[in-house]
Amino acid sequence: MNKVLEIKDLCKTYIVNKRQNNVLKNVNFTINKGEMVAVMGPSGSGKSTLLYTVSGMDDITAGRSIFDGKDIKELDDNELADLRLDDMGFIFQQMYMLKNLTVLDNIILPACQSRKGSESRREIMHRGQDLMRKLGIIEIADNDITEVSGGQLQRACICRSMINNPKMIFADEPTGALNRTASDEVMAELIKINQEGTTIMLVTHDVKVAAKCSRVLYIVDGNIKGEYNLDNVGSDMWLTGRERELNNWLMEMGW
Amino acid sequence: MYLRIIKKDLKRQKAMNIILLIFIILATTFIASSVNNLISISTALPNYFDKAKLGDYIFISLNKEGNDGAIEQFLNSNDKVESWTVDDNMYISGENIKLDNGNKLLLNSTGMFTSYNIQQQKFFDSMNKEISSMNEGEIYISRYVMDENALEPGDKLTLVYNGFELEFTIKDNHKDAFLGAPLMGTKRFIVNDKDFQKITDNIDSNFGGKLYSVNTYNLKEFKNDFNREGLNTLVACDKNIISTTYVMDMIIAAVLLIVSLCLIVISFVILRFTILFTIQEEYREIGVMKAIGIRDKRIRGLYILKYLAISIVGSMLGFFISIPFGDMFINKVSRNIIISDSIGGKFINVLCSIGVIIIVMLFCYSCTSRVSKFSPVIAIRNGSEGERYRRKGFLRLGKTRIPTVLYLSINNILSAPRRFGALVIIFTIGIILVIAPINTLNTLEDDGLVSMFNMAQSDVYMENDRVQVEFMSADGRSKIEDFIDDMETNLRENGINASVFCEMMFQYRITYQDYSFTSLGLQGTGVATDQYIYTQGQAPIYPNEVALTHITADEIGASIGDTVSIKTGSTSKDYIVTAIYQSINNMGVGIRFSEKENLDYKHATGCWAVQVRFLDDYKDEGELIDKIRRLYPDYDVKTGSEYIGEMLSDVTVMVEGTKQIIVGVIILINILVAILMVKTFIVKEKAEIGLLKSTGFRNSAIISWQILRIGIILLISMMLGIALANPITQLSSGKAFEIMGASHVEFVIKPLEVYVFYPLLILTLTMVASTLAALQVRGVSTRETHNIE
Repeated sequence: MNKVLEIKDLCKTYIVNKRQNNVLKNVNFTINKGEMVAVMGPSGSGKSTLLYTVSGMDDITAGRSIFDGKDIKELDDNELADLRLDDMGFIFQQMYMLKNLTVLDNIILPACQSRKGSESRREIMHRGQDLMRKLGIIEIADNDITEVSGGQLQRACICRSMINNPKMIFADEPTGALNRTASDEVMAELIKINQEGTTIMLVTHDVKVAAKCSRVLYIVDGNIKGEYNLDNVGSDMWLTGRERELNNWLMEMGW
Repeated sequence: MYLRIIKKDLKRQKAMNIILLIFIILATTFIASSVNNLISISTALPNYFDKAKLGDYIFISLNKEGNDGAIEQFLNSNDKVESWTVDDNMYISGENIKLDNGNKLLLNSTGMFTSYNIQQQKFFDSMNKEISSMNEGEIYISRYVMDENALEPGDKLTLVYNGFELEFTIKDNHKDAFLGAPLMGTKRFIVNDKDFQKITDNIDSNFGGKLYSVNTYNLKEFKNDFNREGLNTLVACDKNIISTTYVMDMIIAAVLLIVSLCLIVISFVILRFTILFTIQEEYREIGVMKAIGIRDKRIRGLYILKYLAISIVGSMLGFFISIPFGDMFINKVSRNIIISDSIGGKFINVLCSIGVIIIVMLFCYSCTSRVSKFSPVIAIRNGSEGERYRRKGFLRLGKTRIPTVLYLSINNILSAPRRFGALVIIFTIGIILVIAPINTLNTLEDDGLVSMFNMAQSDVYMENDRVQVEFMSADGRSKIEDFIDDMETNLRENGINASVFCEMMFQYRITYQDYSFTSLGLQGTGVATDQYIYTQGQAPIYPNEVALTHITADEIGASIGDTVSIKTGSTSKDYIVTAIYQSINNMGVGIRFSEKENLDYKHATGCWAVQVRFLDDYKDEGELIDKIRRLYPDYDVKTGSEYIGEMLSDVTVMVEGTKQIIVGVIILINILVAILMVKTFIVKEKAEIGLLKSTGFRNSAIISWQILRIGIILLISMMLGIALANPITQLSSGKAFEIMGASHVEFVIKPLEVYVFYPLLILTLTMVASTLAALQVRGVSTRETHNIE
């Protein structure tokens, strides 16, 4: 299988009040193309830091993060920005958007900035509308971001992360701020995107969400303590069974 | 606990608090110095005249006109006279004053010698100290003469007249309330009593005169009596007229007042902008405090205390900076006059500083009162209630071809028009403040200003005091005609086909019905009266016809077609008014006689330069002028702009100085405001910047987004500034020209300079400063996205 992301001996250290805080310690893992990997772990274990560090959103203290064959640490600011623009998509726990733009404008903004394709502005707009239609939020296209629900806004954030057809989407607790129904809808969309070929790495606390992924990495105190492959358990037809199996494994890990 | 919250807040929001502090310092500096200057300048002249003990009415009689005691008799018998003084003076040409290097003194007018110890007025030195004693051999001269001849204290001057020589050492330049204005032709030389006695003993008494100063119970009635008496005087004027001779100082003062007022407006706009901006930053904190049950009163108290602390520190610093800042402006005006500190002195600055604190508190109080009406949730949402009744902006990214970064900038401006409007106001005021003085200066330096002096246009201006004085005699007219014939012939023989002409000046009393007025009279020889510009009527052609300036006509109530009586010498004669014209010469007072009228040149008081107008179309006029210089080495040969520049030399120097200081200050303010605004936006928009970075925007794109907004605002301001600058120039500087006698002035606008050079200079410097400030964007991490509100 093709490796999209390869992490080797990754370390991340913060200095707080002159004290060294080693958040990630020699982390190693690989994500292959088409995988949907969940990162789980207790609060403060370094899940979000891992996500932001491997994606180049945050600096790496030591080690390597190789994305699509490129060592992120070796890239300059512009190359990193281009990578984020064209090959990566980000979904945050909070639905961060520019408040002076409409929902549709927020979605198509990265595509308008991208130099990858030769699409006209009109074509980009149509593509944004298609994505919104697919995620069932086309009716809020011209709304301000303050006028829509959290679930709608998070789906808009997914649209934005998808707009440049990235190789991989990084999602930091994408359902963390949503109710169960909205959470299920968002996850359904992410699974759909994954099934269409986009690799996804997401951080979550929710076993129900993680159970929908193909693999789960369990992180404790900045170390990957274990890895659980859900593809061996069965398809999503028996979701409750996957959840149970995952839960059992997590319990073994100390969850 | 609350103090701990404030302490923490001051640390946490360091950048925003520092920006607010800087703006408060700026606002206090501008407001305190400007208000102090406003008061000082508006009362400057009356205070200066009082300090110099200038009389209500001053006039000069010439010994050569003969004084049979009629003046003294009139002054003693007139019941409106409270007191009067008389002092001797002596008129001396620059030809009779030699410099150390043997050259004659450049005066461009007449010199008047008086003792320092005259009763008419007090004099002051360059340090504004009263000149109360002088040693023999010492002399004080006007700053204009010192500058013109590159003289310094300690240099020597020698008065030379028919074998009599008297050497002086320059002590300093003086401030002379009566003759100190740049527009006053006569320049005063102040010497010791004994030296003055030597001068009067050795120089022809015909060059002497008497200087009368009168204090009256009723100036208006005294003037009427004085004019009716028909006494022979060279100059007669009251304090108001003397004030008008300082019009250029007052133009500078007026320009500085406008600058001061604009700086006050800028300060208020900045303060309102910054306080609203910073308080909005606090909304979320306020919401959290409300949510945990802290009372509104306590929350408001907390923020008011914080802003009080910042404003006290800012105002104190602003107060100290305002003193040298204000003095820098005042020094530009006080070269010719003494500007005393305003009545309240630095107390005004203190009051203004306290005023700024109160304003900040009021802004803060009104902003926080809005917050207390919010529910905790609305406060946490930064005051947004989630309701909207109209669409924000009108541009849609998907429907436009504008580049993304430019779109973001335009969309920001359209989404917050009030916030960016404040910037437009600040930058527009800046542009106007730069263009208006430049237009004024260009107008003052333009060749076309000759017509405003009511002179005929010519190519060359030639001066020779000795020759010109010879024209001021009974047979002066024929001497001028011979002179013109000789010069025209000589020029023609040397390949220059030109017409030569010359103008004489007189002081005549003009009467119409019950009104009488002393006015400058002008007659040209070798030039027809149709060569001058008239605003109404036809040029006076016949000997009994005259044209009047609108000020002279207004003074006596005459208009075109009326018959006025003019006393030319000892007899009066009737003239028909055929035209009205404008002139900034002699404060707009003037009578133009036909060249056919036979005036007695014995009564002439002065002579303009000899003018030469080329009759053929010569390609290289510069070469011709050099040729004329070689043909007439004894003459000071000048071009039109050089001649006008010399007539207004001090004025142009002052305007140039003022222009430089204004351009400098405005560019600095623009740069400072732009830097602070960009930094404010970056602090406020850190989360958005983080989000853009996380979606793949390069640093260069985000920096462009930041500076494009300032660029767009600057361009809008420039268009507005350029559009408004000319009407504002007309209103401000046009008013000053009006005081000098011009009813309408067409300002010279050099498009390249005012529409291209200076706007581009401001734009470039401001954009460079904005770009440097926007580089801060590079330090914003994608992690900031989590602070998005």
